[in-house]
Parts: sequence; structure tokens; C-alpha cells
Amino acid sequence: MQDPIIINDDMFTVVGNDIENYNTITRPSLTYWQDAWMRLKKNKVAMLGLSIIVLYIIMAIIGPYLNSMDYRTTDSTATDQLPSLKHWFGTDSLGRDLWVRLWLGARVSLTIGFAVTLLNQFIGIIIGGISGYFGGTLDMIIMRIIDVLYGIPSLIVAILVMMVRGGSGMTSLIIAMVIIGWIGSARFVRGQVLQLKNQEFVLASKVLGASSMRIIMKHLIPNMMGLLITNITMAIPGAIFGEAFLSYIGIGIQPPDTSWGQLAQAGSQTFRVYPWEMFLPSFFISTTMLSLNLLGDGLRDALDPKMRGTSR
Amino acid sequence: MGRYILKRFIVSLFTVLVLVTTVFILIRLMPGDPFVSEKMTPEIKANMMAYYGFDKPLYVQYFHYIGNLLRGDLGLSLKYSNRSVNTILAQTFPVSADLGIRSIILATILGLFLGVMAALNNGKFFDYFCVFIAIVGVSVPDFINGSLLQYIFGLKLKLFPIARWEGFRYTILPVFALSLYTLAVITRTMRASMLEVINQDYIMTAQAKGLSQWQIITRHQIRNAILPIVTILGPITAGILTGTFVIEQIYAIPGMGRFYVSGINDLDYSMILGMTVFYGVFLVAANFIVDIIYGLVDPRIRISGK
Repeated sequence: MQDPIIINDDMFTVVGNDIENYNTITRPSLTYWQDAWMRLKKNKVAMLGLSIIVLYIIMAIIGPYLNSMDYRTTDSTATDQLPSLKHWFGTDSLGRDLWVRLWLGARVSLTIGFAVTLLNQFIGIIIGGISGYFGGTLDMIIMRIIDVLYGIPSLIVAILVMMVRGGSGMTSLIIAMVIIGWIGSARFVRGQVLQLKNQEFVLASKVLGASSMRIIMKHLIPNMMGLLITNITMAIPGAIFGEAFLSYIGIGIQPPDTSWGQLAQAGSQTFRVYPWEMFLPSFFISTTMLSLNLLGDGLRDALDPKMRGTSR
Repeated sequence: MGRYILKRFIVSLFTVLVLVTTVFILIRLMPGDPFVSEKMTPEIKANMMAYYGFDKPLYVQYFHYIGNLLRGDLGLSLKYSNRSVNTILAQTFPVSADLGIRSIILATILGLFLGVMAALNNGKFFDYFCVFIAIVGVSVPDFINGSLLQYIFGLKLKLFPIARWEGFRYTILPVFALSLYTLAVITRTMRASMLEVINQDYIMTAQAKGLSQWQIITRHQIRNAILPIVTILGPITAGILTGTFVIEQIYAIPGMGRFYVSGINDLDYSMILGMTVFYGVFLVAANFIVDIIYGLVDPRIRISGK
């Protein structure tokens, strides 16, 4: 049997009855973005992803200058080497230094990944935004076009565009992947705009006489920014995969220029004997995609307004 | 429902028409021509062009092609002389379909199982394990895990044959490599959807009624959580299809993907056109069926589209 708890007046003290400071806010007020950043910082896995991406971007910029090798000089006396003091990541089957080639490839792969995604989202926001906001006949026409294009496999279109463009170079790859790549984003933006434009704060803004332009820029876009950023982060791995896929089947970047996909393709030719040359680009492609996916997961949680105030 | 199906059908027909027209035009815009070889003289080339009908105006060729297409004739391959694209498809499609269907079945069964088990063990070790598999699966491109599996289990451990397509043992590595991405997507979607369903009021009602845990999981949770899987079936089919391109190359499987890629490198017009149209129609048909299934299972569409 437990002892009965005796409650007496000693257990209670007056904490304070400070009328002057009654309404002061003790916690600093945070904007949406500060709050999201705080929550993202707490998420160790997402921060790991972010650090890896930042590291790869820095290395893509400075990496090729760190040793004295050149990306296209072949050396028939030193082919298919493993990492050494002279060649930090070894050499390929023509004796070219893989450290330099890998980071130059990173430039191409990352640029394509980011450029394709940003362009897709940009076109998607414009077309989806117009379609959703103005509605009516224009919306119907755009949606019918999107319905028809949506069924077309985008990688097959990319393959054909690459061939028409003579099949090489970064610009061709970007065009090939953007040409129908914006469709998913346009559908998403349209859905968001349809949902947002009937909300009370948009109505209030309209009643106050705001122009369509102002409503779109000040109300609609900021309100879907969180979801858009998450979408962009999640779409970059897809674009990096697209480049790697096209280069791997031999219609992307052509040697002596290089990209991670092209390095994987070159490595796959000899990988039964020299697996290292295949594993190296594979490792960087996979870790980049993994990091972006982890960061995207973290961003989705951090930018979700419903999660605001949790996990402080 | 009838109107909904009709609408989807018309959209699908348009998609195919746009696809065929675009591909037809794009292929003629490509630099180079298919009849390049050292022995080629202008006369032979002119004869070849006439034989395949490339000397006629483009619009005549186009309507000719559409006419043939409606009869199911995809034309003659330019590279493999005297073999029609139909014959090549008839030989290679069953192999690709075999590989693809095995992968989809493996990915669906294993993906659903892992997704459900992860959600039921939410926050425990098994959950983290499944989340890990899912995120690695979507991050490693199939040409990489295809090569890795081939290297580790084929070359080093010698557990499975490294290439070709001659029996069940030959199918294990390529099928697994091809299904990994899909498996990851299904696991992820199923886990998220199960976690949402678990907190619904009707689950509490079912518990209050005194149903067994097993009945609640199978009848109430899985049945409701499986809906979002139907929506991702379309993209999954497309992913498996493009995946066969590289997996067939890595494992030397005599499927369509290899002929498509070699057709691209040889500028074999009718092969590229025929295969693209075939892939396109196949995918559009798959999307159409998915839409119908979704219409059948989603009461909102079933009722509104009468």
C-alpha cells in the first residue's frame, strides 16, 4: 500500500505576478524559412545528404585543378591502373587520369541534373500556373495537350532528340530531357493553383483590388514554394539518372568529353577485368542520387507547415 | 463509367497518333543515312532508296506508313536485310516480356510485403531496414546494380551464370537487378499509405468490434492502403521497359532492348520507328488499362463518370 500523498501549502509558491511583462513573447518569432531551416538542421540524415552534395559541387569546381593531370592526354604506358600517388583514382583503358575525368564528369552530370530540373520546373510553373489560374477554354486546351503528351515515354523522346541533334554535348542532353520533361511539373503546379486560388486569403486579396500578377507572385507562388523545393530536390536524381542512362547506351556525352554516365559506360566495357573503372563512377552516381533523395525526404518534413512547431 | 472509358480511349488514340507522327518526322531529320558502306555506289544507293520507298515525297511515305501500320505491318529492317521488323519483334518481344513480367511480379510481391511489414513495425529495426532498402533501391540506377550483381554473384562467387537466357538459373540475376527500383518504389508507397490508413477511425471501429488483428490487417488496412499502388503502376511499367534496354545489354539477353539500341547506332529507320511505335502503343495501352482499373476501384470516378 502506498503512503497517501499529503498536500500542504508549503508545496505551492507564487511564481510571479508580473503584470508588465505579461504579454512579452519570450521566444524569438521565426519566419517560415528560419523555422524550416531549424528543423532541417535537426535532421542528421538530411544534413549528411546536403553535406555530400555540397562537397561534390565544390570538388566538381576545384577537383580537376588539384593534380597536374589533363583529362584528354592518353598514356599507353600507364593504362588501367589502380589508384596511385601519381593518378589518385587510377587511369582508364587509354591511360587518362581518372581523378580529373571524374570531377570534370561531375561538372557535366551535376550541371545537367540541376539545369534540366530547374528548366522543367520553370516551364511547368508557367504553363501549369496559367492553366490553373485562368481556367476556362485555355485550361481545357492545355490539359488535353498534356493528357496526350503524358503517355509518351520521356526517355524514348530524349533518345530521338539526341539522335536528331547529332547525339552529343551538354546542350543537346538538356534540350532532350526538357522537351517533354516539364509535363509532370505542370500537372503538379496546376493542381496546387486550383487548390489555392479558392482560399479565403486569395479572395480577400482580390476584394482589395490586387491584380492577377500580384496574386500569383505574392500569394500563390510563396504558398507552394515549400512543395516546389521538395519536388525539385526529388527530381534532380531523375535528371542525373537520365543523363547517365543516355550516355550509358552510347548516345549522350561522347569521349574525350566526359560525364559520370560516359565514365560508367567506358568502365562497363572492361569491367570484367578492371572492375574499378566501373565502380568509381557508379559510386559517385549512386551516392549523389542517394544524398539528394535523403535531403528531399528531410526537406519534405521540414517545409511541411503542418509539422511546424514539432520536434523543437 | 462508360463515358470515362471512352474519353480515356480517345486520348490514348491521340497519344499514339502524335507519337507515330513525331517519331516519323524526327527520324527523317536525323543527320546521316542508313546506307553507308564502302562498297556503296550512287546507283546501288538509288536502287536501295527506291526499294524502301525513300525516293517518294515525305507525305506519301507518311501515309503509306500509317496505312501499313493500321494493317499491323511495321516494314522491313534496313540493317538485317529481308527480315521484317515484325519478325524481329515476334522473336524478341516474348523474351523481353518474360523478363519484364517476372520483374514486375517479384517487385510487387516483395514490395508489398516489405511495405506492409515496415508499417506494422513502425519505428522498429525492421522498419528502418525497409526504409533503407527503399531509398538505396531508388538511388542506384539499374545499369549499376545490374553490373554489380553480375560481378559479385556471377564472376566472383560463381553462384549464377553471368549472361544469356537459357533457363531459370539464368533469369535470377537480371530479374532481380531490373526489379530493384520498382521494388523500392512499391515498398515506399505502400509503407506511407499503410501508415496513413492505420490511424483512420474505421480501424478503431474494427478494433472496437473485436475483429482479430489478422482480419483488421488484411481486410481493412491492406485493402484500403493498396489504392495508391494502382496509380503508380503506369510509371512502373515505363521504368521496367526502359530498364530492359540496359539489363538486356549487360546480361546479353536476346530481347527487344538490344535491337532498339543497335538500331539507333545503325540508323535503321524502320527498326527505330517500328520499335518506338511498339513501345509507345504498349505503354499507352498499359496506362489506359491502369486508368480503367483506377476508375473501377475509386468510387469517386465510378459514380461521377456514369
